[in-house]
Amino acid sequence: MSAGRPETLRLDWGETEKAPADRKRWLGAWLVSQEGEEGDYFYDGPGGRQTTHRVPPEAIGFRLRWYPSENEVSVNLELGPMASVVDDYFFAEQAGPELTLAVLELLPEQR
Amino acid sequence: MSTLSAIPMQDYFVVSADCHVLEPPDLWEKRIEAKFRHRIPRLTVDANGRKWLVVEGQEKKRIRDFTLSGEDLERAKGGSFDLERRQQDLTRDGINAEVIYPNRGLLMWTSPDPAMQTAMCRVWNDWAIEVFSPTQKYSLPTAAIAPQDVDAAVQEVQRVAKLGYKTVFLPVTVPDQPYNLTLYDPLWAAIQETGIPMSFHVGTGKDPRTASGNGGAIINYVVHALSTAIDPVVHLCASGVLERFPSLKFVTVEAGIGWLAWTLWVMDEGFHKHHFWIAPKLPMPPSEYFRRQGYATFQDDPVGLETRKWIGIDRLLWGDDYPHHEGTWPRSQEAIDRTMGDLTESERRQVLGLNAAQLYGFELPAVQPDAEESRA
Repeated sequence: MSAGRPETLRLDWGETEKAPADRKRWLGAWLVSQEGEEGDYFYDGPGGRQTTHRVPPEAIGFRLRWYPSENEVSVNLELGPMASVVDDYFFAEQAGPELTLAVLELLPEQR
Repeated sequence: MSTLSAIPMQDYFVVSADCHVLEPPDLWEKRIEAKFRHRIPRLTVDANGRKWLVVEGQEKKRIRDFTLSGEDLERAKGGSFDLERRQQDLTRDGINAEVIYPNRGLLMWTSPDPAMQTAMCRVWNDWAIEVFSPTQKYSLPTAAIAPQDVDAAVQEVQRVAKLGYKTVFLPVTVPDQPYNLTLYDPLWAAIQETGIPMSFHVGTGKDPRTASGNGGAIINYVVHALSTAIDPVVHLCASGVLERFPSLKFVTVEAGIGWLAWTLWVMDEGFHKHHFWIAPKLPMPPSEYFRRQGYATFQDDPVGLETRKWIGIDRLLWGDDYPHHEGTWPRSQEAIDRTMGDLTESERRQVLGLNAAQLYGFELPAVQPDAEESRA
């Protein structure tokens, strides 16, 4: 393991109290460059879960996108539902072997 | 003259030459090459909870939440790529066939990087033909072409023709590379070679969300979206492009037609009065090229219909712009009654469907609906 990269990433996607069709949908991708280039996706699914992911050697962080729930109608722009991108998360220099995060706490409006 | 106003749309073969589909929210994120993924249009939320639309090549724009109800909400939920649901929506509005443009995909040309534009277009092109190939006889998707890199555009035209597309569309303008430049000739040649029409949909090539503040929504609609369609018409008709490529067919989409008669008139005025400045010397006035090779769609434009004799009735294509708010869905019958009362029955047949059927190759029913018989 290189310095600053955990071996595993545990994410709690929250919204367990909501019905499945009311939960956000998520895409999680590894970040492979400081310029924001992405590698593979590691998660493609709804909230309401906890997941664990093995961090690949090239990853220096991750980027999360969320989409409106199935039941949500996007009316705020004529472009239809589209991805909201959460601020990039870069692994800390002294990260431990396992990093655990609550995803909703990464959203600015939740802070 | 308004005796036809009560004729139901079912009495005509009706083609909406301008419809849209709401793409899957994650279409580009899932399909574009990974190296482009972080540059896709997106929303962000700042520390104060304000939402922003971030689009490469455009200024960041504030997005405000609001609520819709009734038919406004229905329109916001429309544009499905579920073929059954889509068919129900078309039938509800009296539509027999449609030409389909993207929705979020209208942002495919915003990046100044031609490679990004091409990558965005390829994603749409691959997806739309996959989805609509089973219903292409009446739901015709348009392939998107990024013209700035002409060689790449030629390759994409040839690729989408092989995929089965029957029409392509381009941005209304290309910044700093107008369509009168001869560097586009390989692209026009490739499109002409396929035999399929090309179109220019408003809201592309120039940011249609430029104005803000007082009157911004109307300024954007009129100045930064609709009126831009004049650009390809004049550049193609006045420059000799259509003289060199006499089989090329083109359509302006969603711009209405009220501006068109005036445009044709003033192009010819310039052609005659500024003849000493004009190059190349064309054998016909510019308006004649439009009447030979051009078309325009409209949805709710009584002003434009009043000018049809100046344009040519065979140049006009109606569309409901499903499901957009500025369109006529799901009340196209009312819009047609309101705006086409002065048209003869033959004119209605042409603008509601026959012109589009001929241009795009839609198969007409063996026995066409006959308004006279149905009224008897």
